[in-house]
Amino acid sequence: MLSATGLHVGYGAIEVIHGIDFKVETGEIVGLLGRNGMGKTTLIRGLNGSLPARSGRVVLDGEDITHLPMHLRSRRGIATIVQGRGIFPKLTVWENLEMGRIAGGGQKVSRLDEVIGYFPRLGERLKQLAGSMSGGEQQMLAIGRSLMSHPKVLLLDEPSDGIMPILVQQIAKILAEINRREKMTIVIVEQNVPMVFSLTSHCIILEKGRIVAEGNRDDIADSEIMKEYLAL
Amino acid sequence: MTHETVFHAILSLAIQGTLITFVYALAALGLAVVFGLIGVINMAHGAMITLGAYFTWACLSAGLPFGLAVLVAVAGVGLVGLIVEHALIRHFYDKPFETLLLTWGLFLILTELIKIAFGSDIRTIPTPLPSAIAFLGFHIPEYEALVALLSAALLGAIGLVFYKTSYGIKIRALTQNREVAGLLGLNVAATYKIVFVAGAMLAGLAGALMSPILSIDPTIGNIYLVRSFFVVIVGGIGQLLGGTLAGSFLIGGSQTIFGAFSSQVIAQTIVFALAIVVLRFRPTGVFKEK
Ligand SMILES: Nc1ncnc2c1ncn2[C@@H]1O[C@H](COP(=O)(O)OP(=O)(O)O)[C@@H](O)[C@H]1O
Ligand SMILES: [Mg+2]
Repeated sequence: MLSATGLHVGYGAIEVIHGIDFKVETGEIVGLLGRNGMGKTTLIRGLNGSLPARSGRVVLDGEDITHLPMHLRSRRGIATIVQGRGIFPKLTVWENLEMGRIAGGGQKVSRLDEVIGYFPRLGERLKQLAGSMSGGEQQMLAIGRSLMSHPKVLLLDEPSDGIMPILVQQIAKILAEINRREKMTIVIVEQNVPMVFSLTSHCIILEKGRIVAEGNRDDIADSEIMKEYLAL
Repeated sequence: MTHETVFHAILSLAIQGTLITFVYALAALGLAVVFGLIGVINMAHGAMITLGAYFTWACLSAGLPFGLAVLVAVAGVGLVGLIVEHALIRHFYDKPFETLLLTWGLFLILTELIKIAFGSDIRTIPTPLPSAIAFLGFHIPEYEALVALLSAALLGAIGLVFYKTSYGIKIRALTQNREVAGLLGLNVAATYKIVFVAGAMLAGLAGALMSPILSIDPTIGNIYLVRSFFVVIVGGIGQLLGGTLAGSFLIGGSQTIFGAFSSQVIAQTIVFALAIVVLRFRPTGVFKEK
């Protein structure tokens, strides 16, 4: 449902992603692994339109969205949970969620109750400033906010980064539930391999802007990079 | 001096100070909105105020009633803002130094165009409300009181939009994280455009409403650019509305007080000194927390 073909992405004169072919099917979860600085965030930006493609194509449900700006890709159903969570710290939790619903225009029915169903903690903190919550709660808010616009696919960039292990497990469980209940397609960038393996066995390994391994858990388990990870 | 005359003098300063605070707040509002929300220091803000005053004068000369003249002036300056944003500013939002130079250039061009279109002679507009309100033995000019009230109402209305509407949520979110706002579906470019044009319209409104209390010449807005600039700086960027008002109070109030004791030149100098001290020690504004 979301694919990239020969995608090149970069910043100014520097090219970071050197021609990537990537595909995820409806309802599938794909893990995107790779060490720091290997281009995971840049690839996500190429998919969501934060950065324009230098060449190659991005296709969503048969529509070529390569040249659409990010707000229109978002309105077509691509939701991103950015690295570092990207909540609006000086808005309340409710305002953050409301922003998820209204930012793309349209008259979307509020999913507030459903989102609070997934993340009861948010329901208890609706009037609190988002910046005053813990990292884990902020991550829940970022995910909940992205659900408000009824997206087709979630792109998550290191959701476990800087979050207490207990909450990481909880978030993984909720992501699995969202995937199961809504047939939500999920692309998850992580350095936390156990978290990814708790969600999916389909993984891609990124190294210096190129895909160096792809397959299920067992296929890639004995690659050099994988050993490096699992040793961590 | 008896106690009564001292009391009388203090009250008089308080009333003048209040009026001038709200008039300055009106003049500074457009600058504060554009700077606070999209980070552009609009050096042409003063010229836009001047343009608003001239548009009002031109409409009155053409026989329009004052209220309609104000609306035309607001729309006219808004249109100028729209053209400038679309042709130039939107390409430079991430470059504060370039936008500073661009708007400075725009200020020079607008000032020259005003001279060509309207001449350099001083124009005056008769005040639409010539009478004064008697209050505790003072005579408060009705029109100035109305402008101060409108300014206060405008501050309140902007506060409501900002804190109580969906549009306010979008704008506050945008100022906190532009990329994420865009990723959630907000058309960032369009929102920036709306904010810049709103700032231009506010400048036009300030010029139009102040026109009957000014001697209009092609550089009249410069004074207000300088003053507005310091209002925004003293007020601080984050504290948009309260800051604008507090800044106006400090600048306007100190000018009134010092002006009462000495010449306007010294008053202006003291204000500058004050602003420099503020810039040196509190670059984000006196009233900003943290
Ligand atoms: N804004 C930027 N401007 C220039 N180069 C950048 C920028 N962001 C990241 N990079 C570079 O792109 C490369 C990949 O970064 P990134 O995609 O963030 O990696 P990852 O998410 O895998 O840690 C790094 O070499 C980084 O230095
Ligand atoms: Mg990253």
